[in-house]
Amino acid sequence: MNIMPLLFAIVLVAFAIFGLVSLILACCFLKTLSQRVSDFWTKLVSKLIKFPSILASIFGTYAATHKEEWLPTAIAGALSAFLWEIVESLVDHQTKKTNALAADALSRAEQQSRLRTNLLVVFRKAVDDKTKRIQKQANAAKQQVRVEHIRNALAPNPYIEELLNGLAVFFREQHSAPGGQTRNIRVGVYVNQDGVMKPIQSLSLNDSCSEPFSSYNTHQPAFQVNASGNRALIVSCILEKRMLIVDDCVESAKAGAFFFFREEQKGYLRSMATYFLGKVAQENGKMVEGVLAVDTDAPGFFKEADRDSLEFSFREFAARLKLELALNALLASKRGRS
Amino acid sequence: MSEKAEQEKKAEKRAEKLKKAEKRAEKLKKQRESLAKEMLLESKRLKKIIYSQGKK
Repeated sequence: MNIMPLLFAIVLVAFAIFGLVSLILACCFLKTLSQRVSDFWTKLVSKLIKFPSILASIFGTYAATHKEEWLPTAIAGALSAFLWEIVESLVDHQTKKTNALAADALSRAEQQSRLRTNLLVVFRKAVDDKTKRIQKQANAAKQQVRVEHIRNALAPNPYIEELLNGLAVFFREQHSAPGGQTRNIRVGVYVNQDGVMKPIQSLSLNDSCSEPFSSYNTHQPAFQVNASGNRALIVSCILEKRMLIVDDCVESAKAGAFFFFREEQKGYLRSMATYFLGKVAQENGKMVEGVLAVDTDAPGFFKEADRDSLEFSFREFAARLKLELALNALLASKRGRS
Repeated sequence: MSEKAEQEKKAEKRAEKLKKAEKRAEKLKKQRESLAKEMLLESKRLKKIIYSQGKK
């Protein structure tokens, strides 16, 4: 009796059992498979195991005598090769899937780190400007520091405007428009003044000279906190005390979730976000609720999917804005109290 | 003071205010450009940090 087929059969059955156990384990730990098993080693082991299976088939085919003794060996070899082919494919598939997820996570991490870096740039510039102004006043007050020096150095009105300017640039830089076209961003701070949401600071990137957010002047009833019917998004924001996002104003208007005061607004007001600031200081020192509003002419600019990221950016700006408004209340020269 | 003189003074004030606003707008425009440039530069630095650290 030829011992070779038997020896081969024992080895190949062992490989087949090993393959079956590996397949069961791979199915049990499918989610973490690519972390537990190396794609390279699986392929290498699979190829090494397939080799005796091929050898067994060759021996069986070309054996001069006792050909039938090689049949069970060849079957064991085929079974082993088949099982290891499945294990290899499974590991390969899971590795590719994990790589795709990792690439997606890397892209998001890159985007988020760029966003946070841009935020730091805006705030660093704001601090630089403030330092320059303070130094200028410190030089002017070489002999004696007077209240007006402090007021000139810290008076927040230019800072608030520059902060809003920074906020607009920050948002514009997050989204590049097709064909190098510049997206317009408008930013406004509204406060609740005697039950009406009034804009106290505003700017438009593409039109520095004109006063944006003119709807307040033309449609004041919609800006009343107790407005019934069609009310401004600013009012909804103050009532709901949370950030509101309108992905596409035109589409939302069609669905009845948003409305335009004028037809021409449909041209420049395409996406909007309003952030609830909480209590902010008015010039007279009174604490009132405020809203930070940002809109753009690019539909889909603000997305519900980006809510967490948007909240993060708004929160950072809101903290600085509230500080400047508090300083404004402290230093405003027109205050009624001495 | 005559009414004409008063009107002239008002117009002067308005022109001065407009000039100030234009100056301010110009300053804000420059600030925007500088901010955008700085953001671009920092983004490049960030990519360099991310990828050069990976090569080490």
